[in-house]
Amino acid sequence: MAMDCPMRAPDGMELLLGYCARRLDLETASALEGHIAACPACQVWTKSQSQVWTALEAWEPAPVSADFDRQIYARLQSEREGRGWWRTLLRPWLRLSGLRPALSLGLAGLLVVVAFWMQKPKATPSPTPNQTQTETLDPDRLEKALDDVDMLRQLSLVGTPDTPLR
Amino acid sequence: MPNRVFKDMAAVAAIEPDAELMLRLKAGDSASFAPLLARHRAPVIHFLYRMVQNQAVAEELAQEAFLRVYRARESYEPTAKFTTWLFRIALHLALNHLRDARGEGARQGPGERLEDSGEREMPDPAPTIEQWLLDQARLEEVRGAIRALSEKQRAAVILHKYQEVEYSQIARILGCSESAVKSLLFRAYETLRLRLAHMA
Repeated sequence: MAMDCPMRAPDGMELLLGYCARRLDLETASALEGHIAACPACQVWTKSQSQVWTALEAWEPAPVSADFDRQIYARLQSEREGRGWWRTLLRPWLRLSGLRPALSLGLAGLLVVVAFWMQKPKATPSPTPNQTQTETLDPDRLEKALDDVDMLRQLSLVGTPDTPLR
Repeated sequence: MPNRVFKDMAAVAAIEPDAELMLRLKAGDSASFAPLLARHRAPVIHFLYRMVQNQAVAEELAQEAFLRVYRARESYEPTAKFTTWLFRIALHLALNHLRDARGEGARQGPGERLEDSGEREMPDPAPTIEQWLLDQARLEEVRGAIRALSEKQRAAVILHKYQEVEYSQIARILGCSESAVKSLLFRAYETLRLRLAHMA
């Protein structure tokens, strides 16, 4: 059989890989063994892959630290405490169960006071002394205005046909 | 506890016990975290260890992964397999660490390494010191070959070889198609065959 065995196409490679990993069912594995026995390319491939597999198996991980769980729970605990710092602050008070209703009532009362204060209409601001308008009469302007009125009166007399000219 | 949560729990419980535990955790049963941790602690740490090749860092990242699971409990929806979600978080943390370590390594210079020396992994020093040294050298070859893979190839190989995760789930963890995962794996194993051929 030629060295470029079709078994080495992606689907065949998957089968060969499964065979080397011993993850094939018995029927498929024995059918593949028949092919491998007759195919030099697959023999080379499976031999080399099995060697890699064995080499990789030699790499065993180190045992997990004995206090791994304890460390996780300690971190969880510190996170919980960090998140509820106000709870930690109030813990001595909260422990006294008799104070809980009083604390709730106090908080409710505080909320009512704040709400009342926010609803209260604000008084209309009174004008400051600087803002009051002071009307002052300018004599020149008054005199000019009287002249204008007089001139207008004369003009209206001129415009009327029944009125004789002065 | 809302009825909907109970219905979800009942529906998922038949499919996946982990999802049931997560839904219980979501509903306020903090004790459900312990079995999740017990079941997945070792696989997650081992995955992270092989990704970052440093036990202390792997455990720190694993702690962060589990903390993120715990923190996300209220928004958890059993839409995917729990382990897919967990390994996605772990992978994300590992990739971030590797990226940061690369930057750190560039600042430190080529002589210094962030990975473990591997000396702590002495399983059985009984045979002979020569044999132990030989094993260590072979182990370092394997670790070096894995390290030389791209981060995605490395993750795919570790999930496939060591965690025995199926192609479809690896695809969901890596966020790519199943055919892309197969392609990644074939290329990665090809590289490993070439690099480790002399160990035969």
